[in-house]
Amino acid sequence: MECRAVINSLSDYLDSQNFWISDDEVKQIDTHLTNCPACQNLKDELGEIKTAARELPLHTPPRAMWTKIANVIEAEISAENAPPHQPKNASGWWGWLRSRKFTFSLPQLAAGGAVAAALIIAGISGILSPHSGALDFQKAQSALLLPEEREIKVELDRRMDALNARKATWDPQRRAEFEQRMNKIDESLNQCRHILKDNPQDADHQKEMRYLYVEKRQILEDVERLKW
Amino acid sequence: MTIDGTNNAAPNSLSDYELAQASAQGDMKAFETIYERHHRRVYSLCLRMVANATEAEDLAQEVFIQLFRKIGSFRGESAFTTWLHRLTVNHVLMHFRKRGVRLEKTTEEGEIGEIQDYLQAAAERPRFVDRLALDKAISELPPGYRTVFVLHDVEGFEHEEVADMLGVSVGTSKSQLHKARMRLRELLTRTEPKTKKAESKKGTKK
Repeated sequence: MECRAVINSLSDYLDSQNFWISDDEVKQIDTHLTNCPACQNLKDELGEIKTAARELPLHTPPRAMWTKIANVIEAEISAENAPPHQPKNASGWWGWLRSRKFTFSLPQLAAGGAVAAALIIAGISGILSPHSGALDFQKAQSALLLPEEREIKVELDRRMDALNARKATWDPQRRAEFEQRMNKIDESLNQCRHILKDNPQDADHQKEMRYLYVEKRQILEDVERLKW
Repeated sequence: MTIDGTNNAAPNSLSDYELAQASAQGDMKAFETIYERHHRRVYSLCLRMVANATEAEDLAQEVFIQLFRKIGSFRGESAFTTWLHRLTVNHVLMHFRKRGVRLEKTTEEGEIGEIQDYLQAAAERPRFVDRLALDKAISELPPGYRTVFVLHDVEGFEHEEVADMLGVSVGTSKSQLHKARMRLRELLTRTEPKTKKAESKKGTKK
């Protein structure tokens, strides 16, 4: 076997003698290496490179790398946890709007039931005494129960005013659905207000109120974006 | 499982699989432990494949972000390290494709230069391979040779796997590996005579 043929087969010889090259070829290379110190040296050298390659030192990236990775991941997690918004088109918007449901925990439902009962009682008492009950309810509606509520209300009222000017031109069915949805949110807001009026520190209902305001704002933003 | 609250085990005492499961539940502490265990290896792999520190840093970052997104799909059927390295290699190869890096095309029977030169150089070879010099020499290899060498000799992938990842034949993978080793030997022995030359010059001046 000549040097050229041996050199061309050296990597195969080093990697897996019995797999890539035949036993006969291995024997021929062995014989050649015994008689050719230069090829033997080359084989040893390639073997050293192969061995050293598995023991190369590890490099250390800059310390800031983890911070950058963590920032990206945390931003992604926050985005995933944020409530959905920005539907793609008008038909999808209504589909999305219809599909959105308010979810209440059991204590909230119980509280809601209590409010409903209270409202019925207030209504009955209102019939008997038209001034006092209605006045309490209005007070509850107008009271500011969240620190940021005034600001939110000003913003939403401004948006609603702009929208009311255009609403007459909307498709009647679309308008009815919009108003129905907004009324439901307002009803839920009023229920929360009633509960918070008695217990201003009720964190669950404060949270619920904030969620409802976000819901309302998103609907208004979508309507504005779609230029109804 | 999580590593906080219900499970008091310290992250460092958990296996990669347990940490992966906790990470899939959004446990950042667990994921940070995975990062601590593997970031140097991932970064080194990226660095050896692209031979550029800034690019390697960007790629390693992307690998860990992708890892977090995909970590729930790790089922523990293979070693986590193998899985992560495969993910890293695929990411770097994708980067090569996007950037239009062309891996050298060689035939399975490609020639490797003048035999006499190799034999002469082999006779003058250093007694052992300096790992730092080898690391530097790898960065000087053409991209195609470098990729195959890093995947096969550094990372320990088999030729079938390398060929599959690169979309080449097993023969091409073997041929490129052999040429990469021969080129590395050339690069390593080339630096040696220079040193000897410099030393002899110094001696002459004296």
